[in-house]
Amino acid sequence: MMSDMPNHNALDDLALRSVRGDATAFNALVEALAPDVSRFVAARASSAAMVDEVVQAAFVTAFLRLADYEPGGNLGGWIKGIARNHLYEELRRQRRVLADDDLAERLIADDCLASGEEAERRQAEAARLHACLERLPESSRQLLECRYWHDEQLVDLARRLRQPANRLAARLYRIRQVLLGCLEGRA
Amino acid sequence: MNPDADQMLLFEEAMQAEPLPGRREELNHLLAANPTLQAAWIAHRRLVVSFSGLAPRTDLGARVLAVAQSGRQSRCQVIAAGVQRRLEVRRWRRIGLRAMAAAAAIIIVYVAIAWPRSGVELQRVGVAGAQRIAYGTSLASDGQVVLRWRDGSLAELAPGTQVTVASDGLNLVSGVADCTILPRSREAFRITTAQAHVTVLGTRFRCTADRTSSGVEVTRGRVRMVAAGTDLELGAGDAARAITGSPPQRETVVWRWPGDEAALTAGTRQADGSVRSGVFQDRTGAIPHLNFAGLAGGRELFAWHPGQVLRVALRCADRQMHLQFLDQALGINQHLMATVVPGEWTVVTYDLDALRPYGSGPAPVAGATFGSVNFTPEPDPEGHPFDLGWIEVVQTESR
Repeated sequence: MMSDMPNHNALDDLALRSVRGDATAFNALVEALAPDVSRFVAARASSAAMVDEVVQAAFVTAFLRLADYEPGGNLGGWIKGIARNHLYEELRRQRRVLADDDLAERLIADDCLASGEEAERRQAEAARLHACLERLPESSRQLLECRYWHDEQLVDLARRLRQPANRLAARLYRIRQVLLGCLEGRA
Repeated sequence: MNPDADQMLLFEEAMQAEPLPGRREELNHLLAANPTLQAAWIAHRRLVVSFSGLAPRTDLGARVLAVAQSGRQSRCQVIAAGVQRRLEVRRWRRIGLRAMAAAAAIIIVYVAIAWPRSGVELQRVGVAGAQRIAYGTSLASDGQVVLRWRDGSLAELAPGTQVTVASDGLNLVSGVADCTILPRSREAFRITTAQAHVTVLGTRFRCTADRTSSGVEVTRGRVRMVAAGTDLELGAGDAARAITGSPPQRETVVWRWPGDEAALTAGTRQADGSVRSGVFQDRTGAIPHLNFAGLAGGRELFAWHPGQVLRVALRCADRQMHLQFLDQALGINQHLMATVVPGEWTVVTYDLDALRPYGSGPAPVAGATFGSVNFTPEPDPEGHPFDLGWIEVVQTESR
């Protein structure tokens, strides 16, 4: 799941070729930087949908402004800066339209907006999350991927696995508990 | 304390982008009664979001290029490079056909429950529950209102905004609509006003209208505004306005409220997001007033340059308001007259080129900064309090 990121010179070369209209180079640039940008956004966003949207928006903006990027700089950091702007705009917009009685979403939105100082710690956690996932049984990892990467609905997943939905929900809860314990160094 | 099996099921269902109707309310009740579960909910939900950040994004480059390049195309009657993609559509691409078919079945069931007939969903911000309104309905928002089309496109209406809702968009009579439009494959989203029309395939922008002009401000994507037979293409960060009978002109917002809460130093925030004037006492009695002072970080409110226009959304029990727009440090004392419908929101526009100094003081020079602005009705011992929905100063290119 982790990718080997090309060095700064290689990224600058991809950026330069992208500005000249080389779609293959831009695809390679996105492929190289998307994992890091995604983890950066995911450590600060309030939903998986927001992660998808902000990451895409950040790369669109980066593509449109790539000519402004000065080679020799930190291209990944530059795109993460763009992503941060999109993200906080989106978080503030989301918070504005949330109904006061939608406590579940309000708790998450407030936590994301308030935990700016904790973002670095959360990002470090995201890096550890990969190691924690490796320690899970293969079947548990696959279950998480089906459910949270591919958005397979709970009822469909339960039907496919021939389990009652509430039992599957409890299993997912316990897997998440194990991961949270691992992130906190308890396991 | 771990949640019980039913509570774990509720958590799990709420992890989905669109929980089944009623389940979100159940979770809200559960969380409100149990702070321990609140902490667990935050931890588990944020873990899931972090996990989603590790998902492979194999087709991201192609999607980014498609969105960016569609925004550069120039097409007749408009517009648009949508940055956003509907979550379901995006994710269906990543999953297998079998899962797609199953997910589709669920979505169809959900749509049948949540969208029993045509129309849009209307939600008042800060008010529980939503109602459905039919296409063709005209409404004036009595607070901040969110309209949601069945494809997920949103229009957030500022207090006092008047619209007529259509299946493919809005007729914006007056006020402000902040729109987040998802890409549509069949019909474009349209906003029509008295002066212009805007067609959108997927982007985010703000549209404003009053009796004499219409404006568009693009946050994301591209929009083409058509007025008086002339079209103007706008990208992210661009804004334009069309005066009745005239082609659209580019403009830039130089100060806006709401937008910087630190600016407002008098007045009472109301549930609908607007602010009611405060009161100060002088020799003539209680005078309603609003004050905007310097922004956070020591910045001034805005720098005055020729070509600027002030727009405010006002509501008052009086028919006419004679406001003073003044900055004592600059020596500006501008009288603004607004004719309003008593009790209803009215957008009024003032040309700031006519800024007038106190007495025989020097006229303002370009670049002079406003550090504090007061709005006060003409001295009137019986002056009614007034409400301010929003205020903006924009720089036009027309002069």
